Amino acid sequence: MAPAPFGFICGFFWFGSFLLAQLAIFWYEPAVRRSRVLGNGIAMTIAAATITVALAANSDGTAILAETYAVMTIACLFVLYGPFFYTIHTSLSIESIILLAQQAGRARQSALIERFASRTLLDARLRTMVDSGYLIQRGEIFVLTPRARRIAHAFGAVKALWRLGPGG
Amino acid sequence: MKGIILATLATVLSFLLATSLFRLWHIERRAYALLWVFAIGAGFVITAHFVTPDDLAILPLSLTAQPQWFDLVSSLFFFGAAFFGGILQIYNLADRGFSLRLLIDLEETSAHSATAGFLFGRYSAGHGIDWMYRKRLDGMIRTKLITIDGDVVELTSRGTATAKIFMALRQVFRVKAE
Repeated sequence: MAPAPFGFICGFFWFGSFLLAQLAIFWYEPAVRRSRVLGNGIAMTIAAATITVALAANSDGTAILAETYAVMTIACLFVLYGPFFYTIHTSLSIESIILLAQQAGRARQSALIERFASRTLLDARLRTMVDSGYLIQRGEIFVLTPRARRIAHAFGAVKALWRLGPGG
Repeated sequence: MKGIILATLATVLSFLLATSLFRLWHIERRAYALLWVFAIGAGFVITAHFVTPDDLAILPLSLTAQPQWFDLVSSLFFFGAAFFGGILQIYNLADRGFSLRLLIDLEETSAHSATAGFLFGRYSAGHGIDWMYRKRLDGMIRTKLITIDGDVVELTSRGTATAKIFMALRQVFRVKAE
């Protein structure tokens, strides 16, 4: 098989393996820190694909092409998977329509606002952000970590560049 | 490798085109406009694939992907991923991200820190958390997931189908509600 398609297929295979392994971990250990599973999982997936390609490569100099396609494929599948993953886990819109479906498809707007624009929801989100390493909690004060400051800066620059307004 | 290079070029050009659109015109439906940017970028990838030599006149034989149809298909895949997973997601997060907006609100304070009470009232440069949720409701109406009549919110058939899909996905991923 030509090296580029081989690398591509290798990337798909190992990403598929990562998906199944990750689902198994979440199924049996639902309380695990999920962002860490994602990060470590992808690193291991890339390593596995790289080793597979290296072991299968011909000595004609085309291994680098196969490696590049394998890593690029995994990276691209991951950037497509990430938003899907976080939508399932944190989307307020999805949470809202699920709540409506559980209440025979109807609810009072005031009740939804009370639930989803509540201090309780904000507190839960802040706890998640502390667990994910974006914030440090000192008593009642939430402090940005250096990583979070970099992210805030970067996206602030994008908002300014694209003239998006405050958003959120 | 030609496919990867063309995909990269298309991504950069798409980012520049999106930036020009957003800066030069006031666009209401920016996500919709970005779909047109994607179409133009995909057109560039396809056109460039056919008008350029297989080795782009610079690549060694060992870096020339074969067969050619695979090179084109993989190029479109890489560009699609970079656009929908990259540019579009950057826009989504920057314009709608709840957690990201909290980070920016904190960054804009003098000590880069605040209480939950401060964030609740001052969310998104003073708009408040309920403004955030009303935006979500407007988005769900626009995408025909719900209707609102007075104080009553009702799921549409599309909303019901979408809810069922995500309920099943949340069971598979064993996600608890926030």
